[in-house]
Amino acid sequence: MKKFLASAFLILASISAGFAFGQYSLFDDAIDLELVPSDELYPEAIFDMYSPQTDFSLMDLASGQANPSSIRTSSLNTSTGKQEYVDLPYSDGFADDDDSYLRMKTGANISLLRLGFLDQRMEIEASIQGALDTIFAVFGGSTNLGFDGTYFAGANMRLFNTVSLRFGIHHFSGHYGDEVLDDFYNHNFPDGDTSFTRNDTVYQFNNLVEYVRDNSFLAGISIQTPWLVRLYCELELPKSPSWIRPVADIPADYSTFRNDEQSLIEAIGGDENFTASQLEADEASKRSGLYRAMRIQTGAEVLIPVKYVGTVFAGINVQLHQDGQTLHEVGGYSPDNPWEVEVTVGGGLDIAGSGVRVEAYYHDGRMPLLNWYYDRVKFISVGLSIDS
Amino acid sequence: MKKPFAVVAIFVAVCSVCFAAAGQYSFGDGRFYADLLPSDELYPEALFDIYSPQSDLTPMFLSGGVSNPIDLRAIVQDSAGMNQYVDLPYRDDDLGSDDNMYLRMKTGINLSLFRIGFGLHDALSKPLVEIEGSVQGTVSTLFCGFEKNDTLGFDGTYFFGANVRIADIVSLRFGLHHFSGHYGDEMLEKFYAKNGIDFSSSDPKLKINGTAYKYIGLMEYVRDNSYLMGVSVQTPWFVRIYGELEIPKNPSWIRPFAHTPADYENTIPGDEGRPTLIDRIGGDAADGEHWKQSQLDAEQELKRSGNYKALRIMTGVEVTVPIPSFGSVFAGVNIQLHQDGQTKHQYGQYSADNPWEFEITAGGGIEIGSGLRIEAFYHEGRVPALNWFYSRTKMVGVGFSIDG
Repeated sequence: MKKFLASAFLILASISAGFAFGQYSLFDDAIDLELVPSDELYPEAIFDMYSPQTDFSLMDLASGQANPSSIRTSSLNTSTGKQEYVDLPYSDGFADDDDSYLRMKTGANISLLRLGFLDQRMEIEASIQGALDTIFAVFGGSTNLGFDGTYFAGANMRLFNTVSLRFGIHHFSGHYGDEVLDDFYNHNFPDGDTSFTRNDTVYQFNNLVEYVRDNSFLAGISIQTPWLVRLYCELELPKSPSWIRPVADIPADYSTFRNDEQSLIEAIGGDENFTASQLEADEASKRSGLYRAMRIQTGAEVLIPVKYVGTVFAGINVQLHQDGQTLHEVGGYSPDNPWEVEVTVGGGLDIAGSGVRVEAYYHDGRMPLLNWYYDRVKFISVGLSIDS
Repeated sequence: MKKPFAVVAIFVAVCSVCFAAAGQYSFGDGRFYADLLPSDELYPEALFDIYSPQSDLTPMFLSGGVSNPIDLRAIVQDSAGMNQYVDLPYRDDDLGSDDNMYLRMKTGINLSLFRIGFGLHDALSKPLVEIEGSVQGTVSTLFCGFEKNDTLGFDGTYFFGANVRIADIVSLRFGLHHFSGHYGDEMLEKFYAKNGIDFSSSDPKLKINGTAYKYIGLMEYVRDNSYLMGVSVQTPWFVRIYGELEIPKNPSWIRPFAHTPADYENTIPGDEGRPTLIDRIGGDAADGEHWKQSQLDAEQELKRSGNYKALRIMTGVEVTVPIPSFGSVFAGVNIQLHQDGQTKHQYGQYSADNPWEFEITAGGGIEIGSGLRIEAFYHEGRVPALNWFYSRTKMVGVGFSIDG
């Protein structure tokens, strides 16, 4: 590892030396070179729940909405000898007023190096992004539901200051909160016995189900129209090989990093204790369609500059998850099942010169914590966000 | 919760209108100005403060011969109902010498909300005194750079308060600061499985060296909240010197029980039978550590013997040399002193004669114009994930950071 450390340091030192050249015009001003510019060529979607922006917002469940109350487990049905996903509660229940959650997301979005051509009519940059996200209950002991990590590394391009393109590698990783895990174990297995009964059937708990995309190709296009409207669309396609969790979401015949003899479904499904016959059936069913666990995101934003004030904005973001076709169950896939849809719509004010937005929005979709992907919610959010 | 939500919504709406209406103003030949959401902050963050509100992406390598952090400190209870802290591994100690890289990812925000300046500093032709409202927040994680990249934990911190800068030289800070440590879920799952943890309220099954114990939980680190005050002096020779003091509020939440000062108030009103914070955090409340009352009383008495307040002191020095059209080159050292080191992080071990725990981080790097830093540093102190405070390490970090 010493060699790795030395290499890393040398690379950073070399980059530093490169940076020391500063900002230049090259080849008789044919190419502009800028290091670490302060903005990015590809604008982030304002109402993308998973964007690398900094958020501090209060989320209030819509009237009649149930709290996210259960954690999905992979457990053995002792009657059939087959593995199943079973949702187990982490608490005794919630009071009527227990309907608010606090979201704190901190993110960084950095353009590392930018080249401009044809008097900036064409610009291209290397970009990295990262965000850590958490949600707390604003009641009881302020239980933390989880932490998410995302990152992106790739390139952005902008043409004629109008069309932006993005391509790179994108990562999603969900983590349960330690407090909610303690609550879960205390609630379900107080005597240490990890078997439980559901509908007169005895199950044996094996493990929790997690959400991972490590990594996916991400491609996007954004068009800034002349009428203050921005339109965008992104497609995310998991790489092969890659790590994808849960096994229910994995496409057929994807490979792993560790063993070419084993498909990703067999590897992750084995971790989740599914039987070989269950995994074979799941893999076979997914060969019947064009299932690739894709994620498509599209939306529109209206941004109206207001002198001395900033920018008033409104927008809608729609996300389509192909893994919805699996019904989030092993063996649940059918090409006839619908993709899962999330909609987020809202508006606010981007305060002049600050990058700080005051915003409110409505979200109908997944609980915005990756490991809670199986839990649908509707909520209203009010808070601050910052383009990082 | 509808009422608080409505209040927040109204507050945000009013703020929006105020922001929109106010703008940035200057009066009296620069003798007074008001600035909303200025782009920088009056109080500079310490470059090598492991807990600062900056964004970091840093591979960190254990120094030669330093063990991987694999032991978690658990609270267990014996058959006589007496508690103790014990260290239990979350995995086998079978890591190779190459399994020594950890990746730290921290994202942070540091925001000046509103600033006013007044008086006139003739030499600078700008206000003599500037004051601002400030908020900060970070979420950080540390995960293994080997095997399945298990995360050791996630930390949350925030600060809100005021900063003052005088004559562009001396900066002061005062406010409330929060620390909250969280264990990583993957590592917790392994810990439960490896140690056969059960959560029984009776019939304890956890065995340590053949003796049965009841598992209460894991030690956690919380400071919710502390007063934080700091002073920073920018000398004319590119050198900045700073010092900060953090004192937990009374009442507040402080975890673990071993760190709680004597005679701090219980923050929960009407919590009968638990008059002090030691009774609440250490006692038999649902979220307590379930120590026996006699143990709580003994710990309280012990801590009355000194001036223990779980203080944290940070100090350091930085040299930042600007390079025109480029940025700057910097080097610095940061020292943190934790009074809770006097408890040895154990029950009944506090003594005013014990030393404070010491952390040192020293390094250097370059800053590119817009605030991106490339840096390398050496850290000797606590594992940089709050709940692992009881685990000492020595690490070398090489990576990027940006001011939040």
